[in-house]
Amino acid sequence: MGRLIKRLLLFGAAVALIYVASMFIMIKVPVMGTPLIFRTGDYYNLPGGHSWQRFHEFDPAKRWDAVIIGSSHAYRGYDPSVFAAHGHHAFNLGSSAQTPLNSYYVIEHYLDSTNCGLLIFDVFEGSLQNTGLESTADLTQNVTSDGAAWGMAWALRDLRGLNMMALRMISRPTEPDYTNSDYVGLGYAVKKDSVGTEAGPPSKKPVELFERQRHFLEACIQLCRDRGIPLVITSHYARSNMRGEAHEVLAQYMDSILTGTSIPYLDYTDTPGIEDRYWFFDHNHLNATGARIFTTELVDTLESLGYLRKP
Amino acid sequence: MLFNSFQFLCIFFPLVTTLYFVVPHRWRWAVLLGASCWFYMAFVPVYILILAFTIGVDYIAGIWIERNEGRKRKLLLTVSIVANLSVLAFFKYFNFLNESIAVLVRSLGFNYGVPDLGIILPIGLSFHIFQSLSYTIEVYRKHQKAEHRLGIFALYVMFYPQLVAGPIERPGNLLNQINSTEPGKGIRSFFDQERVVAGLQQMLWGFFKKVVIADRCAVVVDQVYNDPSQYGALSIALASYLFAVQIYCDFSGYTDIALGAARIMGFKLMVNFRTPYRSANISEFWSRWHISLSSWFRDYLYIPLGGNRVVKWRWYYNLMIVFLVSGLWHGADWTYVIWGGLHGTYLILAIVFAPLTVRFSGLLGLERRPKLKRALNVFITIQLVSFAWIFFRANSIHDAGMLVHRLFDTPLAIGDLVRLYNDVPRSMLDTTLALVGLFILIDPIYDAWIKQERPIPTGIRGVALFAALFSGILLFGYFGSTSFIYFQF
Repeated sequence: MGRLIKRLLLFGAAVALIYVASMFIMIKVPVMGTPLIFRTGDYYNLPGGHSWQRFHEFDPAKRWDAVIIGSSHAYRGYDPSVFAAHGHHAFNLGSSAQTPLNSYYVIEHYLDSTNCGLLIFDVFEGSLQNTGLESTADLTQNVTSDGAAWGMAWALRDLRGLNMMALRMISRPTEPDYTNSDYVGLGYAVKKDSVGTEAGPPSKKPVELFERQRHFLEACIQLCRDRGIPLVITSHYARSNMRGEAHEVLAQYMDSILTGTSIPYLDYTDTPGIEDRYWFFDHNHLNATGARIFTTELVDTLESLGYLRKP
Repeated sequence: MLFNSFQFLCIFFPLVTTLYFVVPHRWRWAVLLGASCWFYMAFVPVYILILAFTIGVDYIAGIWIERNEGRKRKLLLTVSIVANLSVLAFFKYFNFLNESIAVLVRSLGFNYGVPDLGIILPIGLSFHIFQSLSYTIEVYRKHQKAEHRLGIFALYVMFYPQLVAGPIERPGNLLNQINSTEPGKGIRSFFDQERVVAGLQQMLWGFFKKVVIADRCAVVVDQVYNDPSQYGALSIALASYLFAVQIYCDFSGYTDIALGAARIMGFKLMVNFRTPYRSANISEFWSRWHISLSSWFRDYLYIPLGGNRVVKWRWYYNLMIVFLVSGLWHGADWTYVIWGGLHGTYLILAIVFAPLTVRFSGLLGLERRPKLKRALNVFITIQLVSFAWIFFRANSIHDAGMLVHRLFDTPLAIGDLVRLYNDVPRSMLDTTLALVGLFILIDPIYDAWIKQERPIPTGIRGVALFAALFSGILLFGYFGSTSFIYFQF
């Protein structure tokens, strides 16, 4: 048995050596202008874009009256300038396809009661039907905290998480490879175009919220409770095609986990008067107009509920 | 539970293997049976009842067949076969038959209102039904004693490494190892470090084939086969060759993991593949591809039909029947039947034209150059097999027709490949082609090491060769996909 363990240890050391050496070569050797590694898998992200800009701009030492978190619904739908117009400092830490698994590590490594007066957590059924791979690929290359990156890469329970971290740790970029021009600061990215067409009927695809994402959503709630961060959960306006059974399942789930707590779920999905054609730039993301109207309504509600103090 | 899942690799396999070696030998069967139930129930738990039914029927049938003689014996075998095939027919073929009848009836202008069954096909059903059937047939033929302990028989049918995708074992091999009383053999194996290492190496090779080669090929293959109208001859040809690689790596990868896991515990399962794409003709291909199934059909269908010891037309008929049934065994769709039919046709044509091909190769001077002749034959066999795979992989008869039509009827345009290159994420296509090239070079070497036909280099070189495989999985594995193709059968 002792010899077997010795052989396994030798094998492990050889694997580690070959793995690190190969990774190093693939990250450092460019092919047609791009490091070789980006030609070996579709989950390696170049550092840059909204997420890089957002996390490098966010200053955890500052006091924010409100921090918004969630998927692209969050960073495109919650306009910090509307908060500012009401006298509140807000920052948007939402990112593409961010799932509760990813949000958990963002909260854990960036937020506490001293820098966050209120956490606005946007939930969307799509982000609960997602493994978190896409967001982990994005955030492991773009967040400033190694701890957050390691946390979500490990929680992914997928060997791709290890490769993403190897890329991060070996490449250690100091500048982004690219930036997004629709990023306007404070974590917010805006599109001015309108989709211009009527929404279709709601999808009839069966809905199954991933158990692991439900677990992390509950863990996020618990983490906020432990850290004394006031929390509201929200869903922003939706076009009529997004108001089907999928959202019903989410709404019921939110009811089930929030019953008995004081955390409100502010669900604006079915708000009367939503303009399907003019408030969205695609099938489910708010454009500048929609975001401004929605954020105004949200801030009014938060002020009336006492979550944000009226100036 | 998938072999390439976190649950299997990090929980099930280490736990079951450790328990197996820790408990006294007399309780090992219970550990393995419990583990096999857990493994199977990870898919659709209630389907364990189907297995329980076939196990119950064949267990009783085996004992009664052994106790009786004459016609009663035959009757009991018939009951076992009918019960097993009824389960298969109900779960696997009902919808296929129903849809085929509906098409026929509607084409005659009548209404047809029998709905399909809304059920999921139990995983690996065809495999364990065939394994169970081989037991009752062997008992009937008096080649095997009936098993009187239900738990042992259940373990024979349910042995987790080969439960859902084979190899389709025979009682003479697996049941006898489960029943072994000889210390150090089968279920009474000791913990042997060299065997454990060899088993782990075989599993590693299986994972490499599955995760690095098969799952990467699948990305390109799916792109073309799920939308064949968008692609021309070059893309279809490339995707079809890649599917030939994919299915080999997927299935033989599964088999290596199964054989490796069993080997660690001291069981020797049947070899299922012997580098089949090195075959010089279709007959040789079938002696190297899915050997446990082809030998099952040979022993229990082809030979009882008369095999080749009959008049020529009957021989051809026997061959065609075996391959059509083999096609249908794979899946309840006409695409599989055509795939089987093609292989049957290849074999019959090879027999019919054998004198002509000998004369032709003589004219070309190939008889004096056996290596060149073999290389040419291997090349032709790969073309025939790859062409047949088109029907196996196509999503429908309509798609298969379109793929074949476009393969032969669209111009060879480089723009077609450029389109595929752009449709598949770039890193997938170049890396996949590079890895497939590498695999073709290393497959015969690792295969010979794994099957112990050639000694594995010792010392640091041996460690490095398998560490490179493991690192290859980490670096180039396409994770987060996919079941094994043969699970659906």
